[in-house]
Amino acid sequence: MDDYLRPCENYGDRLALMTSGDLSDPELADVMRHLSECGQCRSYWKALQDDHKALTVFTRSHQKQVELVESNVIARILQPEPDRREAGRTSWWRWIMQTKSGRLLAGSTAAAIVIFILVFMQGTSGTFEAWADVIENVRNATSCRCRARELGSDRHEAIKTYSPIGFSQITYEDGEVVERYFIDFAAGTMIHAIPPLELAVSMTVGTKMIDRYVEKDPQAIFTELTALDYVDLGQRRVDGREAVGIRAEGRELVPELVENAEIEAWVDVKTKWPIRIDIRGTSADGRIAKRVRFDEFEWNIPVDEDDFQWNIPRAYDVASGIEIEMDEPHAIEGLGGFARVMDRYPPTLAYEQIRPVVWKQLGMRMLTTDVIPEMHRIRATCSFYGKLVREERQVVYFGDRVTPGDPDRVLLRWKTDQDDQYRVVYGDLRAETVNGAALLELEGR
Amino acid sequence: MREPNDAELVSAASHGNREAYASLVRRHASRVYAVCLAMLHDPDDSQDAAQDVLIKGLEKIHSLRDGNQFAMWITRIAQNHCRDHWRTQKRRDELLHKHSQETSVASESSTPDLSDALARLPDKYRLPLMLYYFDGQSIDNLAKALDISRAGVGSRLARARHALRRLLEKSHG
Repeated sequence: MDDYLRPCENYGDRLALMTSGDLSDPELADVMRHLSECGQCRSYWKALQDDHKALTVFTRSHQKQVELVESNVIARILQPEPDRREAGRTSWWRWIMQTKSGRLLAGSTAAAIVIFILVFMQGTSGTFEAWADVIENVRNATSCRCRARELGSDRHEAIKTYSPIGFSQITYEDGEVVERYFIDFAAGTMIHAIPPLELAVSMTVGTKMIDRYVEKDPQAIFTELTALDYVDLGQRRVDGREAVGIRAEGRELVPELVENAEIEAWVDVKTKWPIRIDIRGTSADGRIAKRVRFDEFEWNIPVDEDDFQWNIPRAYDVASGIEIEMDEPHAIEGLGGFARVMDRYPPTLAYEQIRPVVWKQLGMRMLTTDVIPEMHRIRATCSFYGKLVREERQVVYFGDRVTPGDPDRVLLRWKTDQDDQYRVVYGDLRAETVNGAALLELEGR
Repeated sequence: MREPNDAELVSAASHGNREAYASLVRRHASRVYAVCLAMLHDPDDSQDAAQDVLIKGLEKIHSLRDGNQFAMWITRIAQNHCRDHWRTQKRRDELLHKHSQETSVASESSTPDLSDALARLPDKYRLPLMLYYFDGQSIDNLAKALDISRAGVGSRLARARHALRRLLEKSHG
């Protein structure tokens, strides 16, 4: 079965295109020639054809539903205006009364109205009535480009591009490009380059990690923010435009970056698009603070695959073969890698608080192909930790007191899906599942 | 006569031409249904959701600036709509004290067919695969619709099929 999973590197994509007859004649001739010589690719090709047939049959079995969708929607939109309203009322009422989802929606709507009255009438007093439009705009945007800069430092700024197919970031220092990131979601690849030092790291990124990149885009942040218990900041001029703002704070906002975060978002009253998002992060003891501003937003810009790929120049020193993912094994690997470089575990798993610690200890050595991959790995560890915080898994990290020389002490723990079961990672990076009583005993050591 | 492209249809639809929007529905209903099925896994729920998404598309068409992006835009609306559906479902399940674990354990222990395996594919793989088969279009058209190269489409489909095959093999021991 492994044969199926490993066609020759140069032919995998072309065999996929051949399945649906989408190769040009010269390409086809080349692939056919290869198939006649390669048993492995022949097995792969045979399996592809079987899957193709099965999927085609599966698709056809749903054709009736697609036709119904099409005819129902067209019938609704082409009905004359008055009739449509009448028919709409009748069919909607019938739908509400006769379907489970209809009754559910009716119940949810009633609940939403009550919540709206309770929350909006008391708190926000209707200063801006178009939040629904703003949220809809943001949620349905196909892409977004914006500037990000740390407040208090005029030397650096980054241009970030978010889209469903990839993410890119170009960081400038006094107008010169000092850093480039390219993540291609479909290919599952990430390149991090530092042009002034002519070095780059090429990584493969797992699907969970990619999902997290998608979740962190400004669209998601904004949508998440508006779903929280936020404070209405009223209306004022922002960047020369009339804007309304909201603010929310809490540990659960971006736990993988900072221990406490406060997010402020401002929206153009006229266009109903966000124009500024400020994130202020602080460590639990209030010693480390970071304030980042996202502005100069452009929404729905055209993007294509090339925007998220980059050919690393030949002169660059490149580290490759690194894989990052947001799961337990990679999280443990991240901790191990960090300890190898720093001789200790990070004091916290909030990434923005780890960076200054590393910089202080390693200085410019942080920017080498030995250390940069470890920074990406520990960042994946932080993302895993953040996910556990958001899922309210009772996650606790003891990196400020447990070292690689403490094999039996708990370094990280969280609650599993099972009742009274906890996953524990020890100082020597062994992991096991224990019950609550055992955890209590372990944490008492 | 040349068929109008998506941008021309979007422009006409945003000026109130419902026939133009009906043409967009004919062109993209299978895509929207495929996205909904990929995310909701239930044919009836997906049919309802796809209808809602396409109606919502008409209501919001004026906010789409670049008509050439209609396919991506309506896909995004479908994804958001389905995520909302999940959340509602989750809240309802919580209210009814249903233990989601029971459902997932049950489905894992039964022998899955292709539909189950598709449902378990990660979104990243499932969506392109569903879009490809449901759209029934050439790789070139799909590449255009997804804004990626032909090779990129081939690569995604190959990976999706790998993942699907792995799931089927795993479930069959």
